[in-house]
Amino acid sequence: MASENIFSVATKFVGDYMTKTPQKLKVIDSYLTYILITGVMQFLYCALVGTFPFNSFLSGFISCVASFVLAVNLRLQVNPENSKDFKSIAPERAFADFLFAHVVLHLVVINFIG
Amino acid sequence: LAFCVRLFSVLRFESVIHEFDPYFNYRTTRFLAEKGFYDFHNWFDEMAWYPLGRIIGGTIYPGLMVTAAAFYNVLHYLNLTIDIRNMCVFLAPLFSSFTAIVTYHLTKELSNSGAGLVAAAFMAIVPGYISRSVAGSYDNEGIAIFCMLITYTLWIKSVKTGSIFWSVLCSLAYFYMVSSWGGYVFLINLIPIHVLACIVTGRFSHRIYVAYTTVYCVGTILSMQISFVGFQPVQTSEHMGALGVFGICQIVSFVAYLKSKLSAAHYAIFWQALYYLVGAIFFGAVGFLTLSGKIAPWTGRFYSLLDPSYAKNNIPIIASVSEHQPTTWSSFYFDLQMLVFLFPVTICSVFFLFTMDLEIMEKSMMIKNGISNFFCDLFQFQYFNHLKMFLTIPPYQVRLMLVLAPVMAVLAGIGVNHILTTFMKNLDTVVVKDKKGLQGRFATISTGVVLLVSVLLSLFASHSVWVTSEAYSSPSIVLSARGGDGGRIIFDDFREAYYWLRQNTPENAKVMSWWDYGYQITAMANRTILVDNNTWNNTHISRVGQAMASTEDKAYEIMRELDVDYVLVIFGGLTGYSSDDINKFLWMVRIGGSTDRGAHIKESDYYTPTGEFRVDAEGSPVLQNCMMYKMCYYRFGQVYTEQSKPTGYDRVRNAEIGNKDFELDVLDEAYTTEHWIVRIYKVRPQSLKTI
Repeated sequence: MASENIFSVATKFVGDYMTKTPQKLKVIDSYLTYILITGVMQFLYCALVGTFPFNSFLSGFISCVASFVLAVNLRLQVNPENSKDFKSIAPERAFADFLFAHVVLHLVVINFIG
Repeated sequence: LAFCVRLFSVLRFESVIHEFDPYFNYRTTRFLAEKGFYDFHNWFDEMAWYPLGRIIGGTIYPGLMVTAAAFYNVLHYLNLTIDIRNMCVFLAPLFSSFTAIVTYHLTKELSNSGAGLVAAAFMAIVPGYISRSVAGSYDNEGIAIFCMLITYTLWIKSVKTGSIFWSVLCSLAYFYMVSSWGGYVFLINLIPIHVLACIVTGRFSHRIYVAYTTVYCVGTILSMQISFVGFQPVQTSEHMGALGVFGICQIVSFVAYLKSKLSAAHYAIFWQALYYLVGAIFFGAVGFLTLSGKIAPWTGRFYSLLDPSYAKNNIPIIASVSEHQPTTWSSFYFDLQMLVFLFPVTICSVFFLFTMDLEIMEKSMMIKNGISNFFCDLFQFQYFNHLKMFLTIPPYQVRLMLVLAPVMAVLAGIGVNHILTTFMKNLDTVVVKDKKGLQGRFATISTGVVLLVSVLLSLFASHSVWVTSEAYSSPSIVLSARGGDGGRIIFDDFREAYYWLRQNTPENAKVMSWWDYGYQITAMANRTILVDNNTWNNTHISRVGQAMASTEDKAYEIMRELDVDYVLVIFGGLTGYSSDDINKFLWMVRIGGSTDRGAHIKESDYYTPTGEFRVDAEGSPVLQNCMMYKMCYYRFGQVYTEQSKPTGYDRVRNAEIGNKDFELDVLDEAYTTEHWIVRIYKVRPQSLKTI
């Protein structure tokens, strides 16, 4: 365990990731990174400037979190490695569900932003 | 079936709203139906809690009112003009029939449709649920149980399929649940506990991740749309569990993802580094937030769940609500009867399915069922958790019997189905295989068991119907009793008094009474009141308690301060009606003495030297001179109540009252109803007060 450390593990992981994952999943992953950055920025803004108005902060932040989560779920469902877990859901169906959830989510977010 | 069995009170009395709380719901629904949604949402009620008023829009769960108003509007649109009162009265039975349907679906998801039918039948007549949903009991629980069960069904469906679609439907159902009852907190804690249990036992899968994360995120933001809930989901401890499990889900998933990508050695290193880092951050953050006050500590109601004596000692109001008392075993039986016995049976059968494959299942089915067994285990496990939670809580609060009822119904349904299928199968195989000896004996045992189960079930049905008709169907606002000759006498005193108030007092009159009657007074008499059943302001209620418990002079000061015009008390001494204000008086004293300005009121002053609470000549002089006593017993000393007893004989306390002939200095008697149940007094203006 002493011969390798966390950095070599990380580099190897990143290398594997670049080569092995299919294109579709990489698209989703870049979307995920974008959402993550947006969420972090919102949180930092709130920490710096204060929580007023709280409902706007919450709705924006939760919309980030929820979009992130939904995208992760989509990724899980579309990934061919996981197909045995999601037997009844074709990738197209997964995407349709994803859109449906986003419609509901954004309706609520818009109502809550105030 | 569910609908019909709840109609006893409508048949016996008339279509009225029962009890106290429903009157508030009825009044708000009427407002909503008349004025529309935006006015309703922004309503500030000046007629309650004078002089403070109450923000209705922000302090209620609107689900019930919105549902009733929606039905009402739809029916009117179709030109079926049904009065709003009838709509409210019949909404609960309507929803209980929906609940039976949903129970069927829920149990079908858990095991099979046979069990579903049995569970639905149980749910239709189980007394625990009926008690809160008879015709006329227009209260949140009526639709809340429906919402709860539909949320559970959708949750199980979404865990089973792992699809986002069902998860979103589940969060929409959860939103409906949040809008209808404060008990939604159970759901938001049970579902994470289920997920947690799955993680701990190693059944965590991508499906659960998908289901839970979607439900949590979408559900939480939906729940914050209800003004009453507001920001609580991210601030109070009651919701922190869900957030915590959400975080754990992310971590576990991420870790599993890495595990699949890395080799074992790499993974071990990574795991160590991550483990410490995340653990430190998580505990540090939670600790910091709680200590700095961002996350509020647990509220009083939850404290009383964990420690039943807390409420009694510290907050008399919570302790005085009878529904918060601990449940007795007899009420368990009363409400659930058969289900109490079938329940251990089901636990056993659940254990069977959970730990090993049944011998009873044929081999071919076993292979096909390998996968569905996995599902079964999962959901029955969830129900374990459901049980655990509900077993600990109902012993502490009678109200929560209501919540236990569906669980019992479902489990009993599964249990009965299991028993019946087992033994029915034996009956069939005997006929087909035609063997003697052991098989023959099996047949008789099976028939015997089937018969026994049928008998038990029919007993249950008749018990439930009897209970409903006797115990849960009386609208407390109209009382009935058997007269001397066996005929029925109806006491309609409450409504008589409220209508007198409505027609004979000025529109801006303010009425002081104990908080139980607040909702009814605003709904039926349409007058401003000081305190009502919402009991959100303990100090105000305590002020009223002080007024009731002090002598006339002191009470007059308080009443002047609060601008009171009329005082209303409930008195049962003439008729023997035992939930009157004298019986509630000790609570008034306790609550009145619990704040600063009431510190001079001590409960011990109202007892005799030997520690008894007596209204006759032996009673304490403080009691005999306090306002409540005088209001209740004014002129009572000249009345004969029972043959062979002296005048002024109180039929509830079974004593002749001590202080009989007195005059009132600061009040005038305004109205006393036919049977002396409700007594209204007018406060004399300053100039007429005699010292």
